[in-house]
Amino acid sequence: MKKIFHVLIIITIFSLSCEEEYDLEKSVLIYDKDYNDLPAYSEWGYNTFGAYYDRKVFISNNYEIPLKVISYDNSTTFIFKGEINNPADNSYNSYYNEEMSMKLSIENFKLETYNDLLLFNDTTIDLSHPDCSIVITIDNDIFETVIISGEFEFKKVQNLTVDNEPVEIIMSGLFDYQFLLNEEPISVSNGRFDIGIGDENFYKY
Amino acid sequence: MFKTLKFITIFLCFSLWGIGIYGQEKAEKKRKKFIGFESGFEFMTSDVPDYTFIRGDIDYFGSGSATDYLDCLNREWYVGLKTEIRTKNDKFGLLTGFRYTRSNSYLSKSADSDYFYLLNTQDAQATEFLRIKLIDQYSDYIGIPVEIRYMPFRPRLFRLYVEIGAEFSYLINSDINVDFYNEAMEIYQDDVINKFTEPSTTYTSVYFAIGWNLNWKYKPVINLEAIIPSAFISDYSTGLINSIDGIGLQLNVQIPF
Repeated sequence: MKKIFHVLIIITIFSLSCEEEYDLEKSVLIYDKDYNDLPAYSEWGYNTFGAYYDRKVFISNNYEIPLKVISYDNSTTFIFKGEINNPADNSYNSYYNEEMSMKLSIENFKLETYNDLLLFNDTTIDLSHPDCSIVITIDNDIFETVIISGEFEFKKVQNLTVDNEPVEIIMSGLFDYQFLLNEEPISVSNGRFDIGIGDENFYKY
Repeated sequence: MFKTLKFITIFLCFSLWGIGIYGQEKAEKKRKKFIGFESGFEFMTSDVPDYTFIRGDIDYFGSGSATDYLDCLNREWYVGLKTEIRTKNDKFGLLTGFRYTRSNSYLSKSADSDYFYLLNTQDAQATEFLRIKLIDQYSDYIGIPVEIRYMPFRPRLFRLYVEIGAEFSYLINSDINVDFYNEAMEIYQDDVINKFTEPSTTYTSVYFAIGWNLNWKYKPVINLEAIIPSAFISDYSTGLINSIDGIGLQLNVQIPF
């Protein structure tokens, strides 16, 4: 009986057709098999990121643009925006989730267009360098941090073409770092990101 | 594996039972023989292999593999010639013959849009996606069905029967076609096709059916049967998707000889 039901569902699906538009800006969350609170590492431009913030989970969501790249004055800033939640309460609709962003700034480095991001391909940034700074925002509370150590690794930065037309730049990589927040040490670990950068999330002014 | 063994055991028991009864029949009764034409179709339940070259498109809060939101279907239709010989008590029939089967499977997007992204090439600098609306695949098989039919009730205008059968099939032809969202990408037809495997060269399936035959004396016998279900007992891939089991309908017309 279960098999018949199975087939009937397939026939029903077969009879439906969808004509809505779809684009690459959508987030596709495929969980990691080992760290199953985090998105799996990928290089497809799935527009997700995630990391452990001590024992909590800092992860992209479906409402915020996961990454904005800002080139301003003589610096480049990466703003990762999502939410922080407790792994024990893994309901993403829970009221206990809080908005969170992580702003990584690199001084003395400026981008002209988002295509310049290709320079980061296979590059690791030492976050303890004096030109690097990180600002954390949790529910509108802004925290300046003192970086103890850490790395931000751009494993792959690549051009994406669809049907032979350039569409965006895909940035994929890993990050881990430790910092002091209100004199308390905090670890961000097992961070990973896979995000497309195009006109809609690259800003230069 | 247990399911397969169970099927084979039941199949053998039916065979031995039928042969035993056949051997015990009295000589004075004449065996009925038929030759007939059959035609039918089946819808198969299938799953999509976890292709690493197809971009996932699952709901943000969903889970599973990248291919979960691809729609797939495998359907078959067939025609064939079969002979039947019945036991003298007219309760069991042994049927065999030849069957030509056309299997048609496809892969497409099931939600949100009418195309999916397929990774065409990737190197250190760039990744190239192609937008695919549909990948359509045909396979033609020649098979030998072997069936045992049991008719528990005496002959009447509408006579119920149950049937168990197996089919051994061999691939004779296959073709695959890619429908691109952007028609200018037709030049990549071969590149896309080469990412998929060839369909299975052979397969074996077993099936259980329930049917009714319409009998007129001295006229053709018309049989309508529902196949519920059929199952592949060998690995079977259409090249695009893996089929597991299915249901279908068959009509066959038999002439006594």
